[in-house]
Amino acid sequence: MTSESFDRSRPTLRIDAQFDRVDRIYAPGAPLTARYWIAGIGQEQVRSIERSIDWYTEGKGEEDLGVHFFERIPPPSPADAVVEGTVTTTLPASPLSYEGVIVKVRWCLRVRVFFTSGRDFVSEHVFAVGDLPPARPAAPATRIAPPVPVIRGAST
Amino acid sequence: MTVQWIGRHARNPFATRFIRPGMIPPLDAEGRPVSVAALAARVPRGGFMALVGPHGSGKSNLLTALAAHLAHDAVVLQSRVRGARDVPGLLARIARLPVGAIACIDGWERLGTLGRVAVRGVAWCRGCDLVVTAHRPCGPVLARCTTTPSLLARLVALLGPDEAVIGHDDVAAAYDRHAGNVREALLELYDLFEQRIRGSAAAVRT
Repeated sequence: MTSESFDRSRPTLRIDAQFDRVDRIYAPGAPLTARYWIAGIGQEQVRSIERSIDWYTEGKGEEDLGVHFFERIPPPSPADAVVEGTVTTTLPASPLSYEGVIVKVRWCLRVRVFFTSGRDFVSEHVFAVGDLPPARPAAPATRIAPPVPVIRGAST
Repeated sequence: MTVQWIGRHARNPFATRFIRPGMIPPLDAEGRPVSVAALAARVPRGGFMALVGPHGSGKSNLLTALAAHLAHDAVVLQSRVRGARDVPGLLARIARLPVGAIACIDGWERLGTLGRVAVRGVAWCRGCDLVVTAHRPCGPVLARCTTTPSLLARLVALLGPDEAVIGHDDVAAAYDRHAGNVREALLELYDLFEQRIRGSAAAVRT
């Protein structure tokens, strides 16, 4: 699975994550442990780091999200070249990850680094809760022949 | 460019998450970047200005970028109006703004006549600027938003779908079908992307 980072101005900052399940597919209610590494912070001072386990919807319409686990941790020592952390939680029974056509439900580990300058850097690492099959494309509509009218009393 | 995959699933680059206001830098009708700083410099103190354009022409996106820029130097309230029922809440929020703040209101016409009068009155009393989006001129115009096929083509290039999945002809056809409404065209491309990616995945499975 891929991760996403949002801050084009800080290309050297990198956050990697590793989950205790290689396929990143978890059963509802299962325990999850994820480790992450933040590298390339450089000289800029970190104000705080937030880590969370979230779900969100993605699709054509309004978006929704939920936070299952959230923690704000103090800034690392400026001497640390790589900041490392671990998130451990028990996943809830729902919502299950779903790959629909109009809407998708995704779970992710989100790590957000706040700098004293006011800027921030977010990285998302997607995993799945449950193993629902993706929605299939709709089959082309089939035309149903209209019923043949029966005329009572008609003679042949 | 290639399709971005999340595990077994392709990421649809036209999802709301990637096209909502603030996610794409504002572009002019030809697809060139707009100087938000130059636009912000034209916002008068204690005044009223409008970003004018038809549906899906990028007004909300431009307003979001403008509000973010203005927030460097002033207190900015950004509000999206859905209907006249939002008027009381909006008035209360403007009434709490400090003097010199800027209220950026998306959907000016949805406030209704009385709502617009009330909002202008309260903003004037508070000494706040108003920057709004509207479909027709309703005062001094800060910028006119228009679209062209080149603009949609540039936006699609920024979103980065694989050209083998969404081609130039698809983009041009979507623009024509929605008569220049870029938002609706992008949503149509969302559907087309899903259809083609899932169709090809089904073909691979069989």
